[in-house]
Amino acid sequence: MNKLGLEFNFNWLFAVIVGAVVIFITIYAIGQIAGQKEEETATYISKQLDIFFDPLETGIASGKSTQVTLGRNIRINNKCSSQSLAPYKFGKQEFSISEFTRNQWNRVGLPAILQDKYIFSDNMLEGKKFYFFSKNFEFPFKVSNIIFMTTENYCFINAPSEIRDEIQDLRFENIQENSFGNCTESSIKVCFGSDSNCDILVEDLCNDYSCEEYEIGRVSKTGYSVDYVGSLVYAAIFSSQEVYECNVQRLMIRVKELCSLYADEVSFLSRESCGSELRTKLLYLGAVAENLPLLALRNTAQDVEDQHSSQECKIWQDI
Amino acid sequence: MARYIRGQMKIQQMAFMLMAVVLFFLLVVLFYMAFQSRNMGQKAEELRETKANTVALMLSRTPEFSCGDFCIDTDRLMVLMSRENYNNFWAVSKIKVVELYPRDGLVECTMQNYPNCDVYSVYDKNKKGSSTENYITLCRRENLDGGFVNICRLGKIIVGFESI
Repeated sequence: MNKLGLEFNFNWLFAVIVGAVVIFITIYAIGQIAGQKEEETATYISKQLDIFFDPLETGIASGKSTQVTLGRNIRINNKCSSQSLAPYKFGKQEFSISEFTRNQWNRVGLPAILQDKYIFSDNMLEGKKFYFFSKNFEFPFKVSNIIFMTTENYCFINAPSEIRDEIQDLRFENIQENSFGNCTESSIKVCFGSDSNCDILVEDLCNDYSCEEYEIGRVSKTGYSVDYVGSLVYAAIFSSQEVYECNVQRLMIRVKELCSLYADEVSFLSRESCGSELRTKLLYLGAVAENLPLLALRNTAQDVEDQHSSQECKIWQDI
Repeated sequence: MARYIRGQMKIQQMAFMLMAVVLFFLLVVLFYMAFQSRNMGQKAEELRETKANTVALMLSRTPEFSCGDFCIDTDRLMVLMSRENYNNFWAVSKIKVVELYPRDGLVECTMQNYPNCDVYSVYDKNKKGSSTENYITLCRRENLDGGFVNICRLGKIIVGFESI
């Protein structure tokens, strides 16, 4: 009886241990597969986001705006690097996504690495509704299309007429142009000129006839301020200091490369008697693009533009 | 002794049964993973193809190529062709521009034969895959009678993408 009992117990013990191991492995594998599936979805979304940015390239239009509403909350992490290392000679931006499902944030997917895009946003965006708009950045030729990505609502106070018109023309849903008292409570208040109680202050640094109102200036947020030129005013408003400075550095790498490309094009066209003074000025702008501060570079860029407009053979003018 | 052998047989029976169960689960997991990996490969290929399509549309608007909307500056292409810095800039494996009309007999463009040629190979990583095309205008400048004129032709841009 005792022997029979021992045999029965051992069988059961063996079955229970191995069964438990099998069940544990199965549950673990299912968990891993489910996790991988979530990671795969997040990776898929980040790659789709990369493709989504391409049609935002403006061409001859001055700007484009669009919005995306998702069924669930997602986090978009925007990581920027301005290091010019092979294979990313123009720096890079990495976008990774995490989804909110079953009351928790899932694993972050593999990032989409972009080299030819300049996306200005906070380091991390969270929400269901994302607003995008794009503008050309010219310095003095078109350098690239720059894309702004936000989730917040903004209220622009005392904006100059050019920015006011742009807000109306592009029909931004999340940006309203208003006087201080009429801004909604939750919106981020962006003041142009001097005003107190603003979240963001934009100062005009244009003091002479060489520039238009607010064409060059400074954007101040809590704890820091950055200088801007042209359409970078939106970049400074909508993005974090880290992303802004990194992307401006990346844009300057592109300026340098384009200067060299255009200078070589001038040489190539010398057989057609295309002006060579422009080449010298382009090479100078290219040489200092990565080293001088943005506002100091603007004068050099203006010099290049003046030379280009004065010559008959145009290099970067649309046909 | 007989009971001892019967006991051992039962343990062996159970061990084989458990092995069979484990193998069955392993096969199910392997089958599922193979299916998933095939599915993932298809999705990746679709994404690459869509990316190549959007790049083909977008390239004629980038300053390295553009002379306006859907217009490519071939003078600039000649300079761009010799620049390796751009080889990884756009996430595609091949960029080629071909003149369609009038044709010079599919002659590859070099500094010596330009503009009497048709094919501009910006770069080609020689990766296995497919390509997508988009029609564009190809323009260059010429100094005629002391003034610059733009000479334009019909062309297409071919963008290649890698397949899995």
